Amino acid sequence: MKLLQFSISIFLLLLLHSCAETQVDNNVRVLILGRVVDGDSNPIENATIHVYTEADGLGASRVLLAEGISGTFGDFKITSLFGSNSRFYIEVTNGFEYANYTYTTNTSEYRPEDLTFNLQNVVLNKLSRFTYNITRESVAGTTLDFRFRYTDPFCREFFIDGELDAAQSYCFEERLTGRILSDDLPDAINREFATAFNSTIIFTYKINDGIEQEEVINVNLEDYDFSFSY
Amino acid sequence: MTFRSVIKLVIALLVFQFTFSQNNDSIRKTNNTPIKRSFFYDDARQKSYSIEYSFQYPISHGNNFIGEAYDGKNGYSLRLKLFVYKQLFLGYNQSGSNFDVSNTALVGNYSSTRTYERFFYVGYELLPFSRVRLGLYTSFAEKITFINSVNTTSDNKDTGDMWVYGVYLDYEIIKNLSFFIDYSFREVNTNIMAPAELQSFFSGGNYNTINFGIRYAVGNESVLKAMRIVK
Repeated sequence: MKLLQFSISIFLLLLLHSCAETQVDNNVRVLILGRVVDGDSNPIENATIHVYTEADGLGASRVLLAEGISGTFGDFKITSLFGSNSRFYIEVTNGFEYANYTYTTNTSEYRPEDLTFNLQNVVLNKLSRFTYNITRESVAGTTLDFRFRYTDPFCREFFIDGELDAAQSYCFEERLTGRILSDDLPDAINREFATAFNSTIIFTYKINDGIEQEEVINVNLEDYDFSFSY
Repeated sequence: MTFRSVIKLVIALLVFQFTFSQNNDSIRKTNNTPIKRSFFYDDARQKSYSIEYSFQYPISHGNNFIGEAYDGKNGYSLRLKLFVYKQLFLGYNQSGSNFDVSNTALVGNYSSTRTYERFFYVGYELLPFSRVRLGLYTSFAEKITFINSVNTTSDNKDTGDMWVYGVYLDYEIIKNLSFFIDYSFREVNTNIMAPAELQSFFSGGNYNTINFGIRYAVGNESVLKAMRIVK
């Protein structure tokens, strides 16, 4: 019994020890600046900028270091506290109608010399919800192999010591989604994904072993419904 | 020589003048009985030391992080004052002020800050009327810490040095016990590291304080006189 109590105590001690505490540095301020624009380079006013830091560990809490909004010309300049933690990130959002942007870096051993994070132009794509319905009208045994090639409207950038790390970052990347419809699952009903407003989607399909067909869709509505039957 | 140094020098000279010119200040009546000039020094009103506690109201001002982003709320001050020679005094102050943060976009995301102020001070007390004392002082060896209310388990702090100069008016209600009102100007030089374009905004700050308090004074000899160092 004593051995069990001792083991539990050691376990709890180790657990507590592994709990990292999010640190906010004393006597430091940094400047967050940039300009928020939409996919057509028009400035976005009143976009919201949040600056967070978070230690990497059990129980570490996320701390909001600063917040602000963009001005008439989309520009923002925000004074922020600073935390030497494994995650320091800046989120730029503009409601649910727009995709958000995230700048992430590890500040546990890095702090910019000029104490400035210049995000330059932050592009927030207006979102379009693309909903598709594909139904089978042909005889049983007919198959459809389809794919949608579209632009991911989101942007996540990861920096290491001030340099963009392409391996961990993605911005407006091309995505593919699709599947093969057959007797097991002949229809695809009310499937949806988000893409950039005014972007194009390439719909590619092949019925049975036929020739692959391609259709270009201009997504010019915030809620775009697409129907197809085979 | 900086403006601050000039003011400190002027205060030091005034204190020196008040303190060491007393021997010539005696006025003789026609019966040749010396009467001490009571404005600068009155032997009958001499104290050895005093303890003071006061409510402190901070007022931020200026084009700096304190003036632009902080709103003074309340505070306290605890002081111990030793009358070293005649009305010349040395003191130690420990105080705190609470500020609300009115513009987080200028300073970062914290809703309030409280200061922890420690300094020594030197000054001279004048005796313009019966029961009334008028004091002037300036600080030395000052430290200030701003404790910012950030949502973490440990406090976030800004530190710095502080220069204080002030004036007070004290009214003795009964023997050894008095009420006072104190005004001081405080200039803070911080240790905050900030980007070049914000450095001047964060490197210094100003606020005034108005204190209302109570003082309890003890003794009837200056410290040096009690120690028999001077007569």
